[in-house]
Parts: sequence; structure tokens; C-alpha cells
Amino acid sequence: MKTAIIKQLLDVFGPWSSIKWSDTTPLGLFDIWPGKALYWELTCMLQADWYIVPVSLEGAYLRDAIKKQPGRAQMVQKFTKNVTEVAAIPFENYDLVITIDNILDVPPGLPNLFAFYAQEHWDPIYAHSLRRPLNGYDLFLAHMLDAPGEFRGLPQSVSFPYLHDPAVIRPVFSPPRQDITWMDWRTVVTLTNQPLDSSWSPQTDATLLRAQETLGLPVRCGSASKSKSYFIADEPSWGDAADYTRALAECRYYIALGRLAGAGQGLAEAAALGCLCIGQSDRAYHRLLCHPKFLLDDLFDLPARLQLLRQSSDLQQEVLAHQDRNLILHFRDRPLALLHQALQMKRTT
Amino acid sequence: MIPLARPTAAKPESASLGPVQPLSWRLRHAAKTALLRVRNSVLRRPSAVKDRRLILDFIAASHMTVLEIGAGDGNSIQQRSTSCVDLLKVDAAGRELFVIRDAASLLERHDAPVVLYGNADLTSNFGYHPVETMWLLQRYGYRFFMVGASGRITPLPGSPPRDTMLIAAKPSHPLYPSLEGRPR
Repeated sequence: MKTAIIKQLLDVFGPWSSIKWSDTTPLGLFDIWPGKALYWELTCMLQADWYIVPVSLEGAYLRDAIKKQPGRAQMVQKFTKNVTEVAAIPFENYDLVITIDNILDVPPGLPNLFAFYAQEHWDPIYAHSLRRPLNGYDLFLAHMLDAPGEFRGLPQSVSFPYLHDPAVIRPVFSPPRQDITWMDWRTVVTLTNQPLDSSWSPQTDATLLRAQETLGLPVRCGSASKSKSYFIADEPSWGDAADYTRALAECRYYIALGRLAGAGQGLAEAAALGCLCIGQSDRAYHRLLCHPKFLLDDLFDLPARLQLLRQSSDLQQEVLAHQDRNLILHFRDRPLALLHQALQMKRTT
Repeated sequence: MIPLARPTAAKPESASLGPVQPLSWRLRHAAKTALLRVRNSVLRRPSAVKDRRLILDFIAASHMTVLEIGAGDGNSIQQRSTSCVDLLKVDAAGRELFVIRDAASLLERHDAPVVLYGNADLTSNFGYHPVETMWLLQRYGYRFFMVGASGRITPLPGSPPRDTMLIAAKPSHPLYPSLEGRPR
């Protein structure tokens, strides 16, 4: 399925340059990819080309990520390369076109399948799209998994996670595993009893030290960049996403509990890397991925459950097998099958 | 003269610790009775649950050895004689975690006291979540009981609601079966 992924110039997620899959490698993508590795596995799994197009839709996400941050728009414009006009994209070369937010007006009658993710679930675009895909799109990909899960016909809003595949990410990031736990930064902020939008502080550092003492093993957290909104520094740190992923892959355990946000994408990424995850029952991705013994309601049982996991290599294997099985089913096979089904329907109608 | 004094029990150096008595079967019985009285009478009245002083008074009146740590006491727990404490009551206006950390040598002991403290959300002023206090006590071997709104003491299955009075006790403590609501 030949795929194009399209995002707007000021969207800080994804690569900061239009690039064809044939001109790069999975690891090479990170050379132009600051911030978070969201969509990286999707890109690799679909072997997709990326197009960066001029801004045509200024939604709540873009206002939050760009307009509220003085100087960021200029910085993103300065460092983003190969911006492509929409009219210059050879749509006829693609079976599937995925855009980030509904940034295209899709005319009827095209043979390609047009789908979009909403970048942020709190953006009104997301809520509006849940009812029906906007702007002539065929599919709205509801990453919070709060739309119908089965494919019924076109157009449709459908539950569709960010894709993950252990077979894609593990060969690229396979450093020696260490007895370290990664703690989601929101968990650290929760433990510091501060609001999620508060910046990293000596108090959060002190929390990390106490967590290490309590859990009895080193605790890692992406503290360098998390004080910046959307993990974007004053200048893009090329390779940051790769460094983050590599550091995460070194950890045997991953913890995401407390006041979390979103569907639980961080945990899915950790599970794809083979970390043994402890998650929270109110997060959609956590429910799909976590072994029942390690899906908690809150922070209270964390030290005891981690201890249980650390003490038994049999249990560790069981947890990993559970995670892998569910990752492949829910984050690879089912979503890809749905895309194929939708494409087939698009072509036959 | 303290009746039934245990010869090995050191007496506290500070007179500010409240009534101090060595542990004997009579005092164990008194302590148990005190907590039962707390459970059966004072804490049944929701208004009394908020008044921790009442709880302390009841327990103190029972001749339990009580060490009370308040907000202004800082690290002074280490400087006190703590060889014979049956109950540690902590009301440190959000600093409970640090007070309890300071009491490590006391709380790690096999005969560690029952700990009574409030799970109020004042801890954000000190940069930590109330669950951290529970994690710390868990490390010392404590288990938790919650004083419910009705005054009932029940084992705590997970995280307590905010603003709850908590009782932490080790299974080895003589009062533990009473807290669990089963006969000793």
C-alpha cells in the first residue's frame, strides 16, 4: 500500500522536511525528526513518504504548540526544509494518504483512500470528527480508541491507534537491556504533586531520587526536554527522538501511572521496544497492552508490583509475551487489515 | 513510680512526650481498649474524626506510650528517646513524609509503634504525593487501616481518599488483630 503522510509546516510532530521513504532509512529519519517519535513506526511500517505543506488550518493544537510559544513559529519555519505545495504532491502515486489534522479538502471520486489523525484529542477537530470524517475524507483515525472499532463502510470514524510493530523498532533499537526503570514524566510530576503544566524543578529531581530509593533501582525520565512544550527546545535537537528511544530501549521496566493524559502512547512505544510495562486502567492503550497483574488503578501498589515483576524471570517472560501478542494484534494486524479493507471498498465503489 | 516497669525500657529524656509507660500485658490491654474506645465511640461521630486531638487524648488516657510529632518539630524525633513508643501520632501539616523518614530507626523495629496520621493534601506544599508516605511505611512492613467517615476502622485495600485519617500498623503489633476486627 503506497502511502503518503502529510502535515503542515508548523506542526512540530514528525519530520521537519518532506522526504521520500526511498531516500532515507528508519534511523536516517531521525536526522530530520526532533521532538517525539510519534508516527515514526507508522512511517516505517507503511514505508511512507512525508510531505510538509504550508499551513492552511489553524486549529487549537497549532495555537497551543506554536502561537502560545513566542518565537516558535519563526524557529520552525527556519529549520523546516522542502516544504511542498499541496498541488505539487503526486497523489496519483499513492493508495493511501494520511494527513495530520483535516488539512485537505478532498474532492469526491478520487481512487485514493484519504484518512486523517487529529493531532490532539482535546482539539475540537477531534470531537467533531468523531461524528463523521470532515472535509470529504474517507476515514477519521480516532487514536483515543473512542470510535467504533469495526470497519463498516466509507466514510467512517474508526478507532485506530498509533501503529507499533516490534519487528520494526527492535532491530533499530536493541541496546543491552539494563535493570533500570523508565518513569513517564507525568508520573514524576504526579508524585511531586504539581500540575502537569508545571516546569521541571529541583522538587521533581528530588522526587526521582526518592522514587529510586523506594523502587530499589535506577529510575530514568526524559527530564532534559520535558520542560519544553511538545518536547521542542529553542532550537531543534536533531536526533533527540532517537536518543530518547535508545535510552528507553535500555530500560527493562516502564512505569506510567498517576495523572496521565491521552491514550497512553508512551507506554505503547515502550512495549514495542520490549520494556515490561506497568500502566493504569483508565488509559485505552494500557488496557490493551498491560498484563492484568500490572494494570493498576493508581500509584499505591506500584512498589509491590514492580518487586513482584523483578523477582520472577518467568513472570517477566509471560508479561513480555502478553504485551507482544496484544501489540501485534491491536497496533499492527487489525489496523492494517482495516486500511486494506477500506481501500478495497474505496476502489470498488 | 511506674508500676510493672519493664527493667530494660529506657525512659524518655524529654518531659514533653506525654505520659510514658512501659509495655506490659496490662498496658497492652489498655492500649487495645483505648483504640477500641476510639473505634467504638469517638470515631463514630464524624465530627470527632476531624479532631485528631480527641483521638490522641483517648489513647494518651489509656497510658499508651505516645510520641506526638507536630508541624514545628522538624527533625527532633531523632533527638528524642524513642525506646518505648507504642503510638506515633504525626500531624505535621504536610511534612509527614519527612517526619516519618526521620523516624526510620524507630519504625524499622520489630516492635515499631502504630502510626496515626492524616492523609490530607497539604503535601503539595512540600513537593510530594501522599502515596509516598504510604510507600515508605510499607517498606518498613506496615499495613494500613482507614478511619472512615462513620468512624469505622477498615483495612485499606488501595489508595485512600484524600483527607482521611490513616492508621498504620505492623502485623507483629499487639493491636494489629484488633484493627483487623478479629479477636486476638
